[in-house]
Amino acid sequence: MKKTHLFLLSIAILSFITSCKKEETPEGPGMVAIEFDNRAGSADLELNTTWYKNANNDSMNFSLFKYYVSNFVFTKEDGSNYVVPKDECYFLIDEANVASQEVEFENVPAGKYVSVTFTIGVDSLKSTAPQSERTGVLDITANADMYWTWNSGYIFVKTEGTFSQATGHDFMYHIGGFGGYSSATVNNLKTVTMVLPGAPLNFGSNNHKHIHTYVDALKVVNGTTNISVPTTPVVMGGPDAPKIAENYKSMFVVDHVESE
Amino acid sequence: MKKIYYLLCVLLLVQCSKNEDNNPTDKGFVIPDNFPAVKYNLIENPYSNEKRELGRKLFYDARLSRDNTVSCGSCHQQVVAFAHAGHRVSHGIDNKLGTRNAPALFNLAWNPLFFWDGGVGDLDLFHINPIQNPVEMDETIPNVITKLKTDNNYTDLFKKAFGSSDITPLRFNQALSAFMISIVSNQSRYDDYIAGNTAALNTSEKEGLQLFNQKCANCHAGILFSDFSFRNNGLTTGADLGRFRVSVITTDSFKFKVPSLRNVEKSGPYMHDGRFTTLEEILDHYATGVVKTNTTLDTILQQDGTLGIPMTNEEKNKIILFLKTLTDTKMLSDTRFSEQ
Repeated sequence: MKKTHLFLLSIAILSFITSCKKEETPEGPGMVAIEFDNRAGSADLELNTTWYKNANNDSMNFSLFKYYVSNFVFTKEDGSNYVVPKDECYFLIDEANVASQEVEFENVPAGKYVSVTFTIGVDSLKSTAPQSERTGVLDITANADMYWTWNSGYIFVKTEGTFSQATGHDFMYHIGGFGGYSSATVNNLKTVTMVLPGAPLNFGSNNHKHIHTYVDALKVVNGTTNISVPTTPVVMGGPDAPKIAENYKSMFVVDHVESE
Repeated sequence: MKKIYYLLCVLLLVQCSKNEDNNPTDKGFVIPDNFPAVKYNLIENPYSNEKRELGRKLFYDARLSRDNTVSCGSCHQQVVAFAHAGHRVSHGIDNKLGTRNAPALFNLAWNPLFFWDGGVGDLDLFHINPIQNPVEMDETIPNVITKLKTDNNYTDLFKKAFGSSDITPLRFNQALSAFMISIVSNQSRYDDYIAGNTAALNTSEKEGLQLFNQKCANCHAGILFSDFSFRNNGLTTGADLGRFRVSVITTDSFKFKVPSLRNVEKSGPYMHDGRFTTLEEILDHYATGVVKTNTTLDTILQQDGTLGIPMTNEEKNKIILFLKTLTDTKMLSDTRFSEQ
C-alpha cells in the first residue's frame, strides 16, 4: 500500500516537473514575412494604366519596377542581431509578379525586435562569386534582364515606363554597380534600416509576424536629387546613377506589422 | 589563403598531367614555371582536355549566333593570335560593326579583367557578351542551349567533359573557358632566349630588348608583357570613354587596358579602335604622336614636360625587331587550337 502511494506520488511529482519544464521552455523561432507593397507616392502602384506625378511635376506611367533586396538582418532591443543565412537572403521583387512581393524567413529566433536591415542590390561577394553559386533569382541566364554582361554585375533597381502623356516618351532607369573586381568601380550598393512601428515587437513561434512595407517607386526620381524625367530620361550606370541610388535608399518604409 | 589556392592549383595541375600520361603529346593546360600565379579559378572549373575539346567545338560553332553564320572563331583567327586580321573593329552579324578592336586571345588564365575597359572580371562570364551583343552574334544563351541539345555530338562531348550529358549555361561557359585558358603562348624565340639559349636572338634583337626594357616595359611589364592596368596612352580621343564607362570614376576617362605584346607582330590592327595597322605606326605614335587631350594622360608619357617617349628611328627599328621575337609560331599553328 505504501509502495503504491510512493509510486503515485513520484508520478505526480514527475509530471509536475515535466509540466513546469514545458512552461519554462523558451519560445521557439518564428516565421517573419515581409511584404513589399509597391506604391507611387500615396497611391498603389499600377503598371501601365495609371499616371503619377513626381516631385518635378513630370507625369510618369510605369511599365516595369523590379529590384533586388538581400542580406536581411533583424535587430533586437538589446542590439543583438539575427542574420539571415546567406543561402536564403536574396530576393528579386517584381511588380509584375505578385508571388515575388512577399518574402518569408522561417527561423527567426524569438525575441523583442526593433528593426530590420537589408541591402538594396546584390553584395560584392555574391556579385563576384562563381556562376555555380548564383542560382534562383541570381541565375544570370534565367534573369538575364537584371544582369549587365558588359560590366559584369546585377542591375539592382530597374524601372521603365513613359513620361508626358502628350508625347509618350520612354524613361529607363537601370541602376547597378557593386564596386568592382580587382580594380575599383562605382559602388551603388545601399543599406536600409527600417524601424518597426510599435517596437519592440515580440517575434517567435507564438508570434509570427507580417511586416507590411510600402515601397515608393517615385523615390527613384524624388529625394536628395529631384530628377527631371524629360531632361534625364535614361540612366544606365553613369554619373547620374549614384544620385538615383541615394534617392531610392529612402523608398522603403514599414507601414504596419501584423501578428499572424 | 593565397598560398593554399596556389597549392591547390599546383595539385590540380599535377592531377592534369597524370591524366594525360596516356597521351604524352598532349599535356593540356600547363602553367609555365616562369609565369605568375593563375588568376582563373581552376578550383571552380578544374581543367581537362575533354572540356577543352568541347570548348573548341563551341568556339568554332556558328550556331552560337542568331542566324548561324558567326562563330567566335570568325573574329578570333588562330593564324593572327586569335585577333581579327584586317578589321579595325568587330565585324559581326548582318555586316554590323562594333566600336572596338577584337583583341588577341592567349594566356587568358592570367588576365585579371577582360575587355578593353575591364568590365568583366570572370572569364566564365565573358562568353555571354559577344553572343548577346546585337552587332556581334545577337543570340540568347537559352536559344544556344536549345540548338546544342538537338546535336547528338554535343550530348557525347558534354558527357565526356562533365560526366553527364546535361547541357547547361554553366557547363557551356566552363567548357569555353577551358578552351580559352588552354591557349598558352610561351614558346617564342624570346622565351627560348630567356630559357638560356643566348643564340635565339641576334645582336639587333638583343639591343631591341634593352631598349624595350627602358622605354616600353613600364606598362608592357613582365613575362606577360602587360601590367593589365588602364591607361590613357595619348591617342586623339573620340566618344569612347574607356574604363570610365565601367568605373564611373572621372580619372578613368579615356583609359584602356594595356594589352600583352606577345604575338604583336601578327595581332594587328592595333589600339582599342584598331586605328594603327603596323608596328611602325605604334612606335611613331609613342615617339612623336602623343597628344594631351585630357588630364588623364599617363604620367609616363609626359615626363619633364615632353610628350611621348623619345626614340630615334634606329631605336624604333630595333624595338620592332625585338617585338617580332615575341611571335609564338608554335601556338599559331598548334592543331589543338584549330577548327577540326
